[in-house]
This record gives sequence, C-alpha cells and structure tokens, in this order.
Amino acid sequence: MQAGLAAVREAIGQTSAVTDSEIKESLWYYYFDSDATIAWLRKTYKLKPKVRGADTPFRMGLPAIGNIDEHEEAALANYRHRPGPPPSAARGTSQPRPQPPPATGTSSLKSLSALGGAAGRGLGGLSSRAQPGAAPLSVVGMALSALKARPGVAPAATSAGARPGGGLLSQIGSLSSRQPARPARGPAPMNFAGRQVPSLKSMASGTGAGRVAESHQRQRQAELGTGAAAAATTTLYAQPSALAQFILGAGGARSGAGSATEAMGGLRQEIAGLLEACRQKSGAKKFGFDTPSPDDRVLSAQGAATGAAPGKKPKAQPATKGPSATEPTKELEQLKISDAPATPPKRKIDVEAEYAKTQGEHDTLNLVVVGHVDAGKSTLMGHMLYALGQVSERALRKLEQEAGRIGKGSFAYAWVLDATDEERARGVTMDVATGSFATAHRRFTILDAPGHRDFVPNMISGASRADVAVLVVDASTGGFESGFDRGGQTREHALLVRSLGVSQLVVAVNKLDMVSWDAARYEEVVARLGAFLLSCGFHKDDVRYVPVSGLGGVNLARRADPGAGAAELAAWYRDAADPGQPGPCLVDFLDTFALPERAVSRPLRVAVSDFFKGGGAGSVSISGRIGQGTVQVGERVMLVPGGECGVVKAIDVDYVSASWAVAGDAVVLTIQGIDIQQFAVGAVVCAPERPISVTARFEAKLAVFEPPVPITNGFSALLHTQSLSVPAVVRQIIETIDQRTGEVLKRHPRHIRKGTTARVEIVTESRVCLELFQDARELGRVMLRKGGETIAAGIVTAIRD
Amino acid sequence: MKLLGRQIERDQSGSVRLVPEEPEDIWHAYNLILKGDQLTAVTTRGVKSESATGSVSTNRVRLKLTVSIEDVFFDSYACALRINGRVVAENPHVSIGQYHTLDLELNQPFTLAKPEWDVISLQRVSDACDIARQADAAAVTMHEGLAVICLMTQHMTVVRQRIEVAIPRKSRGSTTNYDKGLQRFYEQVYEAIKRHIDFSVVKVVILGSPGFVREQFFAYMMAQAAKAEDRAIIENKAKFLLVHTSSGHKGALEEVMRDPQIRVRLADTKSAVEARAIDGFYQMLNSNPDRAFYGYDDVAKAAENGAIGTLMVTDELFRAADVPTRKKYIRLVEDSKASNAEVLVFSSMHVSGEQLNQLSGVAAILNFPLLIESDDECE
Repeated sequence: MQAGLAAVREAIGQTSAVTDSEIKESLWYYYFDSDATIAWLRKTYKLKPKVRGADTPFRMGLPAIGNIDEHEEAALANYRHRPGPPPSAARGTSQPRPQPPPATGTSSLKSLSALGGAAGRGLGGLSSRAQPGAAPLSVVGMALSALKARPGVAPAATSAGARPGGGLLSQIGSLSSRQPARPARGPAPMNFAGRQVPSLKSMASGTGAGRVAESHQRQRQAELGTGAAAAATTTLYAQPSALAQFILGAGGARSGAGSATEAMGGLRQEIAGLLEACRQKSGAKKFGFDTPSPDDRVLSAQGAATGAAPGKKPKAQPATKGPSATEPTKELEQLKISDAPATPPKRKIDVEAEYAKTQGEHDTLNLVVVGHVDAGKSTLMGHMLYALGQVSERALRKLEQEAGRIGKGSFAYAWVLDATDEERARGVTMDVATGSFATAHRRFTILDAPGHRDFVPNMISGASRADVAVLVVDASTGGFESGFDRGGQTREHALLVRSLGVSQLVVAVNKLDMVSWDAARYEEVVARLGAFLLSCGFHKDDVRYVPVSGLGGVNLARRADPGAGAAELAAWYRDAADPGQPGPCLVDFLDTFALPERAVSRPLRVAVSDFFKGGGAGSVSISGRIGQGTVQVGERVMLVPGGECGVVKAIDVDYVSASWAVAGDAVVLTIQGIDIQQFAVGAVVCAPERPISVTARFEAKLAVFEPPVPITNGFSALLHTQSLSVPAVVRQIIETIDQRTGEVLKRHPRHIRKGTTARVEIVTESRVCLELFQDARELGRVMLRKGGETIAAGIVTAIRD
Repeated sequence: MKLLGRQIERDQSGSVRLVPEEPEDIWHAYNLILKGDQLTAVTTRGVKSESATGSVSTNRVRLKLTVSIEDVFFDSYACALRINGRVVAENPHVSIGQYHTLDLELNQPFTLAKPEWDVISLQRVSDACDIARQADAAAVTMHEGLAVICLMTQHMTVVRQRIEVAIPRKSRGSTTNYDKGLQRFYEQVYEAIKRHIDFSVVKVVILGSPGFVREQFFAYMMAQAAKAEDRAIIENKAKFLLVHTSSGHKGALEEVMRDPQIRVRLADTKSAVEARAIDGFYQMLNSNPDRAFYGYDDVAKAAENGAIGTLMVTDELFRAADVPTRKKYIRLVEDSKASNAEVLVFSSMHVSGEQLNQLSGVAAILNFPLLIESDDECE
C-alpha cells in the first residue's frame, strides 16, 4: 500500500487537492494497480470543481444503488423518473470494499456518463445477485470505470453509446439479474472471480463494450435517418444480444474454469468481429483520435449544463463548448453526444438532428380545407383521396351503394370523410375529418373543416392545426354569392385562416361543370375573391386559383384532359409557361406550397384537440398538432393546466407509429401517468421545464372584423383559441391603434367599431393556456366570436396573471 | 312575498313586515336588506344557562331577535340568505351587543327597519309582492359536450347544473367512440332535466343549441321517455321549444331571448324586456354612438341634460355597501324618472343583467344626441 501510495504521489505530483487517504482509497479500490489509480485520480481531480458546480437538474449522475440487489426493478423505474439523483451519490467517493449490499465500483464513475452509471448499476445488480459480496462485481464495474478513465479510449465510443447504451446496459443488467443462473451462451465466458489485479485486458473488454454500444448507437441513428424508426427500435433490442451475452457470461461464469487471459483473448476477438460487423452495417467510421477525448466532451457538456438557464433545454445549447471542439463539431452535432451526460436519459434521440436529416424527404404539411357550406369541400377532398389511391375502389363502391340507398348518390365521395350517421343523414360535415395523401414532393395531412356556420368552432379547431389551406368556393350560379355575401362562410373562413397564421392559399373554384366551364364565370369569381383576399391580408403571390370539379374529379390530381369530359375547361385553361399544355391541376399547386419554418428548438407544445382512453391501462391518447418543439417516446411531458407529468409511451404521426415527432406533425401521443380526468380539450402538453402559462386575464391586440354592434368595455363574447372556446369579456379597451403605423389613435375609447385595431384587456371565465404571440405563434392567437359571427381576431401581447 | 305591514314615516324611516313565500323572494330580500338596517326574525340559538350550583347547560332556544346588520350573504344556488349582525333589542336569552347570524326562512315573517326607504327599495317591495305570476321557464343551452340547465324566474336565472362530457372527436375509420360519448352526454342531460325541472311550475322549456344537437337530443329524450314511460316528459312535450343558439354556453340565453318564438312566449317577462333594452342600447351605439352612453360619469351628464330616454341600472349598484355610492345612483334614477325616462333596474341574476354589470352597471339610450368630451379623450 505504501509503495503504491508513493508511486502515485510521484506520478501525480504533490497536488494538495488529493489527500493521501483518497489515494489510498482509490488504490485499495483498484487493487493496488497504481496505473489505474493515477489515471483515475488525474481525471477525477481535474474535473472536480466542475462536478461540484454542476448541480443542475439535467445532470446525470449515479443514484444510490444499495437497494438494487433487492429491488432492482423498482429502483430502475424510480431511477428513470428521477432526473437528478442526490449529488452525494453522483459525487460518491470510493467505497471499494465489496460487501453486501455492494456499493461497488460504480462509485468511481462520479464524473462519468450515464453509460457508466446505468451499466455499472446493471452489472452491479447482476453480480450482486449472482454472487453477493464477491469481487467480480467490482471488477466488472471497474472495467467500465477504467474504460472511462483512460483518456485514449475512443471518445465516440463512450459518449455515443452513453445514453442509449446506458439504457441498454441497464436493461441487460436487469434482464440478467432476473435470470442469474442462466448459463453463459456467449463467446468465451470470462471469469473475473478471484482476480486480484485487473489486467489491461479487462479494460480492453470494457472498451469493447463501449465500442459495441457506440456502434449500435450509430447504426440506430443511421436507420432512424432513413425514417425507419420502428425498425431501429427493434434493432436496438435485437442487436445487442452479443453484448448481453458478454455480460451474462461475465456474471454467469463465475464458476467457470479456465485461464482468464485466454478468455479475454477470445472475447477480444469476438468483440472485434462484432464491431467490424456493426461498422459494416452502419458505415460508421473508425475512430481516428482526431476528435475531442471523452473527457473533453464530458467537460464541455457539464459546462453547458451548468451554464444552461433554468428553463432552457440543455439540448438547445451548442453542442460543443469544449476547448478542443472545432473541426469535428459537425460530426459531434450529428451524433449529439457531447451533452449526453448532462441530460436525463429520457432524451434518447436527438430529434432535432434526426429531423434535420430527414428534411427533404419528410416535408409534411397540414392542409385545411375551408369554404362555405355545400361548396363541395368534403366531396372534393374525398375525390382527391380516391384519385390519389388513399381510398380503395371497393370502399368507394360500398359508400356509393350506401349513399345511393338513401338517395344521396352524389355524396359518396363526401362520405369518405363524413363518417358519422348524423353527418351522412344530413349531408353536412359537422366536425373536422382528417386524412392524408402524398404528392410528388409533399406529404399532406388534410383537415376537412365543416362549412356550416354553426360549426365554425370546429373549423377553428381544424384551421389552428393547419399550415396551408385550400379554400373551396362554389362557382355555380348563386352558389358563390351565398357564400361570399355578408354572413357567408367563404368570407369568415378566409378571415379566420388568415388570422390563424395560414398565409398560403389555393382557391379551388369548384362546381364549374355546373356552369359548363364558363371561363367568364371563373374570371368573375377570381376577381371578386382576389380583391377580398387581399383585404384579408393574404399576399397576392401566395394565393393561387384553380378551376375544378370535385364531383367530376376534373383537374384534381390530373391536369384537365380534353378526352376525359373536360374539353371545355381544357379549351381555355392553359399552362402559363407552356400554352401547349393544360393548366396546372390542384395537386400541382399543392405540391409547390412553400414549407413553413418549424419551431423545432422551442419548448414542446401540443394543444390537445381530442383525447380518449387508449394504449393500455392508465394511458390516455391525445391528438393534436405539435405547435413547436420535439417529442420522443419515453420523454416526460407536463399537462397544463394541472401541471401533472406523465411519460410518452407511444407516438403516432399521421396514424403511423414513430419514435419521435417534431413541430408541425399531427400526432397522437399516448401518455401514461396522468389521469384521464385531468385532460380537457384545450389543455396543452408541454415540456416540463418550460410549461405554458395559464391565465384568465391578458392583453391582446385585436383586429376587429365586422361585428353587428360595436365592442364596448364589458363586451361579452366567446374566446376561441386552438380547439377551446370559453366565455370571455373585453374588460377594457386600452387604445385604438393605427394598423399601418402602429401609432396610438385614441386612449380608452368608449367603443371600437369594425375595421379598427385595438389593444384590449380580456378576462376569461376560466383559466386558459395562452402564450405571448412572440413566444409561441399557435398559442398566442385568439379569436372572438359572438352570436355565431367572428367579430375579431388577435394576438396575445401581455399576460396579466 | 306577502306584505304584512308597513310603517314608513315622513322622513322615510320605518319598517316593513314581509313573508317570503318562494325562493325568488329570498333574492328580493337580499336586495332589500342592507348593512345598517335592522332585521327582526325568528331564529334559533344555543343559549348557555348556569344553574344555582354552577353547572352549565346549553339549550337550543327558538327566539325572536332583532339584529343590526353587518353582513349579508346570498347563496344563489340554494336561494339561502344569511344575515350576520349584533343583537340590538332586549331579550331574555341574549344580551345586547352579542353577534348572531340569522337564516332567512321561507314562510317565516320578518320585519325590516331601515333608516331610509328609498325609491329603489320601495319599488323592490312592490315588485316582490306583485302577485301577477309570470311564466317560469327553464332553459337548456347545449353544444356537443356542454350543456347548461337554467331555471328562469321573473328576477333570476339560476344555473342548476352544468354538464361537461368529453366527447371524443370522430377519428379516421371509426366513430364508435364519438357515438358512445354522445350517448353518454345525452343521457346525462336527460337525467338532469328530469331532476331539475318541475313541470308543474315551469311553463316552457327552451332547448337551445347550434347545429342539430337540440333536435337530436329532443328525439333522444322523447324516445327515452317513451321507453321508460316517463309521463312528466311525455305529457309536457308541448312545453319544449327548440331554438337556435350559436353555442351552449350560458351567454347564449341572450340569443334565446332574441328569438321571435320566445319573444311571443315570454313577451312580458322581465328577462325579455331587459334583453330587448340592452339590445336596443347596442343597436343605438352602432347606428348613433352619441345617443348611447354607458358608465356613471357619462350617463350622469346625460341625466343633467335631461336627455335620457331609457336608463338601465343593475340592482347590484343598489346593494353597494357604502351609502354615498348608493345615494348617487338613486339620485340618478330619481332624476331620470323626473324627466320622464323609462328606468329599468336589471336583475344581475339574468344574463342581460350580467352583461350590463360588465358594461359598468349603468347605461342609457338618449332621446337626442349629446356630444360629451370625456376626460380620456383629452389625453
């Protein structure tokens, strides 16, 4: 011991930070291997100040694991739910004596990543079950810690494997602890028992383990990149079996005989082979020692975590603040590994990076179909879905039959979307129906809004989830006028979608077949609408017009073909660029919608537009659109109002299961841990670290449309935001503003009339989730309706309480 | 309310003896009884008595007490009134100055003495004792997932129950959840109607909703009633009126009052008159803003100029705790009456009254336009 102490002292110099007792302890821990001790001490004491300071909730450390051997499952579950373990545990000094319950070699991992933690714990559980109080545990743990301690170890290996690998290892750990006696099937069972001095080989094996984890991680990310998220999840569980076997072997082979050296040799080979295989699969590059070391990365991550503002997501921080992070930044960001130790394990996937990779293939747009009642919205969309192959021939025949039976043969296409008995019986869409289709460059989630004036609240709910819109107008004689005149929904819907932030619009001039494709009528409709839409605030270039027939299916998915019953249309509707061709069809226009910017890096917000029991006991599924931020399976989310937290168990993006989703996706989230009673339409699922504000009193800037009576102080109306409607009162009109200059025209006017812009204070009957418009567009918009008319739309400018 | 006696002196002080007979009378009493008045009524109180040997026993004693009122609390749902104050009249059981809380009970006479009976209070007494019964109505406003069941009497609209059921939206491929949710919702509304609406009293039941909910629900209700042989519903089928509203929130009652069908049925009820008046105010504000004023300062100026055609005030203002405020509004009412204006004291328990409350509690339609330079315009 004394000799070891002297050697270590010599090696590290007479640093005052390291006391003799500490050195002794670590020596004891490393079974008097002075090299390992030195390495560990160097690393540890270099990091020490950082570690102490970095007591943020995001920091990942090691929980006390004394109870693992008894209640490992519970402890693991508990562990997952606890973002920040007691700092003492994370900071833990060596407790090297192997005694039941073993405090194990994990203690040396205080500055290490989650991988070490989870793995150490997993292994700890494993070996404690296998042979309580015996040495192997510490050895295995140490192998890992040594791996961490060695500066030369492939950095990507440690940290890339960190989070997923950590989870993986802990899973393996718990798995094996459940079957402690399972015979070793793995390659070259190793025997750690009785080993007094850990050889370099055991460290190498640890390195190997890390590498395996790394490879899996890379492979997983690569697969995710192609969008096959589900497949990746499977791979995650399927692939590591070799690793699992290795660990099993480590635990289970305590009684096995044979020379350890030999065993290690075999293992090394095995791992090398495995690694090679993984590399080939994933195309991951061999580590060239040209990127920052894991220590650097840990340092930088901890620095980032410490420096993170309390509300800020750590992952939004620049990935590389580390000293040596210059050139390899790109790779790092892609792998998103550097802040791994600083974030809780819930964020397994760096969704932002994944999302960035899929850009170009994954261009999803939410499209709302609006227009006056009976303009043919549902029929048009139903026909589109059919034409694009989303509705089978057989299903359509069935609908045709059913519709024919009650004498509504022409409604067959509409029934694709109008599914309830009431809707079918009355021939009116009542609630928003969803569907999806893809064009050459875009994927669309369509929201077919009801046109009837009584269902405008539903339409608002749909339109608030949309990026772009199709305005369907009835061009038949009298049809256009009834929708366009005062009180018609063509106007109201256009105003509403614009106020809800939709700037791109395609106007489908429908039912032109009823006026025998009269070009003059088309021009008239376009001219009248054009002037109005400009006054609504649409930009001229963002509004495009297309003549169609929803029922006849003309010019929807294919350009008008003179042979297919649209000769009249083809006669005058030509492509502007190439007059030899017929003009572009509806799908052509949809395909060229510009993609809106997604607020991916902002805190998560999903406004609940519907919820229902589902996805297993105690789970609730909510549907809505991710307004901003990202979400992934396993992530903790908060429901506001209420503030309860739950865990996302499953994500469906557009009815297809996924492991993550980003802003703009229409999702169904299955959430566990929150009672269904807590849910309500209008609630918002958010990031727990930055929940949305809930208020009953706020200030808004309103654009007043055409209310039948002026708005006064104390004016009561219904406030709509997202899918929610709640009675509200305009408590006070603060001032009227000049729309163009922003100048205050008049303070405290007695009333405001149509066409004015004003700042008002609004008080709602119950508390609602709202955010400043500047912070979250979707949740910062409000609409005031009264007596079935939309009287004003506005944005939240201040929240009063 | 029954008036048993009235002794009011020339200086307007005096007392009135009344018997509340139905829940609405408690509301009237609430509007009459103000801080500082003296109330005499029968009540019970735990009285401690000490015997000669020193043992203490507590008995509940029914006794008549007079208290000087310090606090009044009204529970609109149960129509109960609790009055707290100090005992002022001598009594064998309670000494003067002790606190007591009275519960005003139905069919138990009480005597209210005021230092000054103003116009509003006297008007309230005569309103309360008006035996010409107006139609009591019930109203159910609903939209998918929300229903509000109200009882409307002459002076009050009381929400008896608010039903909120989460109905899953229609989803792709299946409407089962939606249908189930809707059934559950209708079932609850139906049960609530049976529980809260007494068809022997209620003359009309209004079902108001956007879309087709009311028709669908009405069909459901009649089918259920037929199945369960619920005579109360079947026999009163004619009392149901289906009206279009834009939403299911309580505020939609305002639209109900505008419906021509309802206007005929409830033509002379206070709520209909009030709804019409406030409508008129907004119409005037729209067409001729110089003839529609609100807020005390503006209206008072109009009153000074004798311009007021219709004055609308909520009763809440007269329940104001501080005397000067009350006096201020009473003067406004008296001035307006003197200039032959129509004065409507809105019940703050009606939807229109709530609206007027929001609108500062006082508004006026003027006979001729007036230009006023309100202070804020000078800013």
